[in-house]
Amino acid sequence: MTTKNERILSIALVTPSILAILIFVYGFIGWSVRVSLSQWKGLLPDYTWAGFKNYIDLFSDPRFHIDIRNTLIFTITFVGGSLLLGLVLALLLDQGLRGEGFFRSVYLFPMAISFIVTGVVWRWLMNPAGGTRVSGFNLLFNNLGLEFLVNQWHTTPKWGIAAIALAAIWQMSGYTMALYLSGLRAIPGELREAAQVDGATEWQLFRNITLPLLRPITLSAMIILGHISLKVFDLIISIAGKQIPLDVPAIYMWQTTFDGYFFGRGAAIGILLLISVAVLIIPYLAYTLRTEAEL
Amino acid sequence: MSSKKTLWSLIALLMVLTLALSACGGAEAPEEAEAPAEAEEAEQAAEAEMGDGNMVEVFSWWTGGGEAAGLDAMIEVFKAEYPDIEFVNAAVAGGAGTNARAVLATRLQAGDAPDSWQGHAGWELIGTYVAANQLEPLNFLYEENGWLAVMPETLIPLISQDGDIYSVPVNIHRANVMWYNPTILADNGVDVPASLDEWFAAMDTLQAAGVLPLALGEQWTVLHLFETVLLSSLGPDAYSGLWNGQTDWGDPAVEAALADFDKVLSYTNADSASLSWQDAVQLVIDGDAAFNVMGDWAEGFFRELGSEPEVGYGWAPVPGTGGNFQFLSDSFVLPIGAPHRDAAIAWLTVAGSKAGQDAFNPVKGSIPARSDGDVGLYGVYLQSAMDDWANDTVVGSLTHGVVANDSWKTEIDTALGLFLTDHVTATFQSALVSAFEASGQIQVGSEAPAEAEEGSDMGGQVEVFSWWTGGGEAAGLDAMIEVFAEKYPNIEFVNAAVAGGAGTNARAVLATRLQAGDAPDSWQGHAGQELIGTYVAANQLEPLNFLYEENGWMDVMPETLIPLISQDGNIYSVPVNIHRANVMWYNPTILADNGVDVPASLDEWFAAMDTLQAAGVLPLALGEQWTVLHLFETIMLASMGPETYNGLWDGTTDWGAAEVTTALEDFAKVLSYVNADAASLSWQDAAQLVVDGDAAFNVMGDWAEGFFRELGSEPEVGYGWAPVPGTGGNFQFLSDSFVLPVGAPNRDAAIAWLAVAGSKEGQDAFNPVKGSIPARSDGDVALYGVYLQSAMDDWASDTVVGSLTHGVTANDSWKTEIDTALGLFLVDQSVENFQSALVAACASSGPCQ
Repeated sequence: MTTKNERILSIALVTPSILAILIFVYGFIGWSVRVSLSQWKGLLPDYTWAGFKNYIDLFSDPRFHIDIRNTLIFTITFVGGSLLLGLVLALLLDQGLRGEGFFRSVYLFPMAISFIVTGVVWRWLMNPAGGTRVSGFNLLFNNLGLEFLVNQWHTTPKWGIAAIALAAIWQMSGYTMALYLSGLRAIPGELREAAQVDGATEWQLFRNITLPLLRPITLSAMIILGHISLKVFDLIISIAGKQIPLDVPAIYMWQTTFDGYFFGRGAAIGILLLISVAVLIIPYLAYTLRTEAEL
Repeated sequence: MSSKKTLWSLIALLMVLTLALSACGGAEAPEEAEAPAEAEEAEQAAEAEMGDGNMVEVFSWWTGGGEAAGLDAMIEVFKAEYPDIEFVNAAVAGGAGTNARAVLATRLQAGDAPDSWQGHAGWELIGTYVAANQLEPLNFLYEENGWLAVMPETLIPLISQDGDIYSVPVNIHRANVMWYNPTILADNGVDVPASLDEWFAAMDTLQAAGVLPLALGEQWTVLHLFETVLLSSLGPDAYSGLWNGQTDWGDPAVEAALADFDKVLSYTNADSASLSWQDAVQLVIDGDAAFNVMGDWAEGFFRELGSEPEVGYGWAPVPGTGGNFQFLSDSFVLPIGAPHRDAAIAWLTVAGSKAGQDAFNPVKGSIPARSDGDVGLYGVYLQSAMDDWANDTVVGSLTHGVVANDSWKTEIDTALGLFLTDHVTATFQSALVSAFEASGQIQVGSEAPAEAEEGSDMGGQVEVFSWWTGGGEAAGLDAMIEVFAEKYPNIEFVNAAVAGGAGTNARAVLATRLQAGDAPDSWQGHAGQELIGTYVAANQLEPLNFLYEENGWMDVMPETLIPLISQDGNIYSVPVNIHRANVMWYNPTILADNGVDVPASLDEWFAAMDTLQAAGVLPLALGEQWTVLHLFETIMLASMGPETYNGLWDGTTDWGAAEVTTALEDFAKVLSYVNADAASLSWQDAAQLVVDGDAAFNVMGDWAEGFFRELGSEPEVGYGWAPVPGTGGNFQFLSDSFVLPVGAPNRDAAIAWLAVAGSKEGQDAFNPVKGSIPARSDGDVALYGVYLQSAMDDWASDTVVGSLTHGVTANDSWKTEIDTALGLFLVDQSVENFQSALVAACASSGPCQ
């Protein structure tokens, strides 16, 4: 009797949020899909059916090609860099040195800053100007006698987007470190001791015990960083503004929709972004649900 | 097991919700789909029959009982007189009008006003809708139809503000009616009391006899009783003075009235809070109470109960209010920007006519607002009320929205509610005084001004949308607002400026507002195709030729400008300022040091830049991508000349032509002289390179001049200027301008604003502060600096061509396509690809479609 009442109560309690999610998430996704299949161009809605024209056009659009390339470079650099740096920092902190808490906080701090702030600061740091106007990192390198490191940063042709990823790595590696640190702490000491008894070297320990046991952490971190990376917008806008060499889908979406009034095309980019994030997230969710069910 | 059940119940729940949602959708969809079609049909019919107006949508909360029947009767009259106008009855049920008013507010906020709506005559309407500039004054209707002669003189001021009448009262109810049980009075030897003292004496007798003297209901009926006792105790003049500021709420007379009211309350039933007004009046009929005070709609209720007038119930004015008619009235209004104004006026004419009122009122159980109603149609009580209406002094009801705006009424109601719990008259009075100060003062204050003004007496407000939020722009706007305030002191200027992104944010906000139907009265936009391609294409703007003609602007603006801000002969904006895009800034010292003259043609420029480059000087400073687009448009003009350049935008020059190829090659060559870090520089950074001596040239619009001054540099010493080489004699302009949206909420005020924006005074206030030149050629040169004076000369004599980057020559879609093509060119450096992308852009969004 009571369980039945409790069930009714629990359903009643979750209904408002289910409704809100239905309307504000799925309803609006549906609406965006509809807009992306329309030929809406201009201030006022025009839902004339256009089929997949917006999508097909995007795939032959040279700007969108640049967007995809930039997203790939950014994602690889950013996710790879954050994972590597995070792991190294976590391993260092795991050595049990004094002041660990202090360093942990220092590494985590950048995550508390918004991408906009990070962007503005790194814009100054990565000033590509030469000659008398040199400043930021380039000035530092000059003064330290490291002239070979002086470079064009985000204005480097073709690879400038990787410089933006540096700022993103700086911001998110502390977070990755925290994830890895918790993973390292969860590895049972017995395993390491058993291996040491068997005469394994430190490298073998790391290679055959630590790394495999950190695999779930790596996967989670990749998912979290990956979806941030696909959606990146604010960091690029605050470092470089709107310019084609550093264009990504989110910026193209904003610019084409609100500057150019190509609502149909903008919605199509949005839906493609959604799909790309879903391709990343859904297998992960399926995997986690399955493992939880097994447990 | 159990989790499966939960899952199933969740799925079931979802399905129910989906059904419910689709049911709602299904119910609404057909209506929406049909309405426009009907409107169109009717429109065609109406074109033959009468001006415009093919339908009229009237909003009310009359959905049941005598009210709905009365409305139907009046609609019949309307249809008989205007058979071609379709009547759309947009009534909303529930909450005695509360729901309807909420729906109305939502519709008004969305810019979707009905053609007319019902509201209580008086301050409920004035305080809410007139204050928000939603209503048109109706004096013209009163004059045309001679209504002033047939409505009581004392009524008109109660439904007016500043001499403007804002509604057409359809019916009249009386609030100060005391109902009594004749049998109880006779049994106890009590006469019908005529004064408060007689009433108290009578109620003492009744109370002593074990009869409940006065039946009372829930709180709003207490407020209703309160207003009648106030009238009784203070008399009509002092009572009316409470609402127009002439009677002090702190006055001892008010204190005495409150004491009377408290005494009246002592005769009432203890359970009043749990009774509706019907429950309370029924106590009288049923013989459970002697008196009740309620508006005369109670009479209809008595009849429904089967009681006989003068047998089962008697009536008299509330003791002490004889000779006064405390009224309330339902009335209809004319909103500003009514979708079918003529049809709405036709409806109001019927609502104010004898035929309309005599159809409505007998059915609704009220009396007509006109004093010439046909008495034969009305019952015993209503006949007596009609007599009183024609002869009595008319005062307004508080509870029913005549004398106080909603805020004030709510505060009085709160004070009353507190008084009912503590019965401390002193506290009550001080709460009433603060209610007056908080909300009544506004109402009183608004009646005071009227004379002693110099400019136009046009009132209301005007909301102007722009992205001028800082620096010289905001200061210039403020200067022009001051000019506006002098000319139109009664129009409140609402500065709806949105900051950020050089207008990008503002335009996104504007697009959202327009899509939601919530247009500002005017907004800023770059003159030309940016406005025309976006807003004119979407039918959002009114042509302004009439303003140009009325004000003689055609004679004072350059001839070559007009076609650039027009489409199909219609001018769509009022340009306020002019900036020049094709300006080349240079560092005089660097040029002199290197023996370079100021170049006048592209070839001279290339030669000069070769010399400078050889000398190790950066020839041309460039910034982020939009400054590249800016450079691009000036080089196109330089290379092709004004006619061919203009032809690019109207479709007469082929983007694939050889001369375009040449221009693009020139542009590619110019780019070979620029700094490598251009993408990381703002326009200010790039321009500063010139004054700092780090670069010889920079191409930027003439707003750079203001920036140079800010840096403390001297004109002609720290920086020099010339047209971009090859563009001498041409003025590549851009302009900020203001527009008049279709359906501007305050159209007259918006036109007033545009008249100021186009006037010599307005432009001479704005431009010296903003650092631009006036669009008019008759500006006062003495107000402007050295550079601006030279620009004014050029503006008056040069050939005017438009800027691409700043919205004159291409619509937004086309411009973003060109910008994308340019960005791709910066990546791959291929002129061929660039040109074919430009051809494609013109085909997809330009005139080559």
